[in-house]
Amino acid sequence: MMTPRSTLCCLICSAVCLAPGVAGVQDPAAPQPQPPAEAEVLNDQPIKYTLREGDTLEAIAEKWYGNRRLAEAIAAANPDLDPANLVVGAVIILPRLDLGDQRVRIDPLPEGEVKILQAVVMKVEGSLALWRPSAQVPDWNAAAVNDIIPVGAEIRTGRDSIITLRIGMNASVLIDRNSRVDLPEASQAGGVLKTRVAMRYGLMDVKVDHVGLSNDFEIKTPSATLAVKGTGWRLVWDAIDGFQAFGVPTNRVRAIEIEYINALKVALTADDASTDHHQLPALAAFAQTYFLPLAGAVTPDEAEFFTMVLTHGRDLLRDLGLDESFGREGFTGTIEQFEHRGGSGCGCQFGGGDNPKGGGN
Amino acid sequence: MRSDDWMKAWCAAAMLLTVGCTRTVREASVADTLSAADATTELDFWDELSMQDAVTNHDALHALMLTFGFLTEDGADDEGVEGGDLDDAGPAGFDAKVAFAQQRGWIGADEALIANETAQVGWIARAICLEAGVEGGLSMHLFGPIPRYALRELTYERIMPTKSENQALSGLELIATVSRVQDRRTGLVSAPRQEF
Repeated sequence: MMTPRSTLCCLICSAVCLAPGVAGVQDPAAPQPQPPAEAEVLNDQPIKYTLREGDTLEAIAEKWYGNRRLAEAIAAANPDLDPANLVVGAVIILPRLDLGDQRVRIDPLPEGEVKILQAVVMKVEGSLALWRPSAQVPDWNAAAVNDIIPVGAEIRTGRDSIITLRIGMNASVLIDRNSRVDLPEASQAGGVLKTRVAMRYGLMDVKVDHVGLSNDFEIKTPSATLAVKGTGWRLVWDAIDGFQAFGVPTNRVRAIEIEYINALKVALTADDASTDHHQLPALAAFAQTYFLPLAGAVTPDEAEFFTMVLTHGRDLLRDLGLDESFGREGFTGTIEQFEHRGGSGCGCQFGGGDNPKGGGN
Repeated sequence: MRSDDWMKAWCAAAMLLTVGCTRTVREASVADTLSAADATTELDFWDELSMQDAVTNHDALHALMLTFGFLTEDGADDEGVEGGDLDDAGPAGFDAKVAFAQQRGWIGADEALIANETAQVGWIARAICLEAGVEGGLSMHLFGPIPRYALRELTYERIMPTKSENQALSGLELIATVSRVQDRRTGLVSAPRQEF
């Protein structure tokens, strides 16, 4: 029978391990992981966090949940706390997350305020995909997961390379083989998300989510401009037929980012090491869209694993020595599952309550 | 019409025909310098090729060899190839590519290609049909993938643009062609067009 700590390790591993159907068995004799030093993770209890110099509720929410808006949830869980006068050394509660099936709403900016957004590389497949910050920069960078791609960047893929980007707060783009794409604009102005993607040639899948703001999303090709109004599109521009748009019965962007399986929402992300020690930008990008400050019946283990994934990501996996593959059995629940696909990823187990099941698929 | 006018008209027509049949020789090919088989150089090759308004024989050979996997970083593709390595820069690489193309039947054994001359669509279509296993219809079954029928078949399958076999391809057209060849082989077939 596995200990609660071992259960926690399994749940954490599942967040960044990808590869459905990969079988494996957890070694019950493996060293048990230690919780992060800055907070006390108590089984069956909410997370207790000790305030430090310079902390704000927004910064804590961004670090632990990947969403600054969850500062409201922290304040609500600590009714005696004065957010404007946090006391160093005081212990506060970090509430459990409810990852229902609603999307987070992004607040509009004050009138006249403009925020420049950026893109995050979610996944890279094939031999090589390149990008550079602008046409004025001569050197190209090999694309890697969690690369931050600024507005003005140029991206190109080869015969067998595919790159998936999360653009701004609400758009996913899969740039397929033999393509050249530019990102001239991504910004939030007041209550409008404005995105411009320029496709010189190639094939691209596009998915635009509704996050409570107005969408002004355009794709420019040499012969046509498409205003994206739906959710999933495949676009091609080449010198034979010019511009073409297709529906998405097999939307690969959907298959990579979000996959609907039996009404459960599955998020897929990449398994490469994060460039950010404390947080995976790709996961943070996902969390900004899908995490919600709602109350609900989430088990302590589930809340802990999502929180720790956002905070520590693959560093935690390495520290815990959890690099084996685990099988994943069916998990019933209302929370979102994370399924990681990758060459070396693992499909980790979800356990029920205090008794996670061992073995593989 | 006076006889002089007829003569002038015939001369003009003959000139036009001659011009139409003359291949353009460009100063250089992209593959002259971007011929290495590593991934970065290959991306540079496709990028430069996209900016060419007409593809040369050397560029077309290089593009087809990349597309069908005949150029590998470890040089294993050079076994059995006469005269130099396929990914050599400059004339040596082109000569090796021509020899390879003759071995594969892309061009005739006695057919000579000029490196920087604009490539004719016909032999490119033949090469694609041979390597991609495009069997075509009755004509191709009877006469084989001769350039004319190969091009007609690939045009019908929307793999190549509508052209005659003596015309040239732009860089973007060749990239579109090899992309569609890839899609055909991998099964990445776009969904039927829908109205939006």
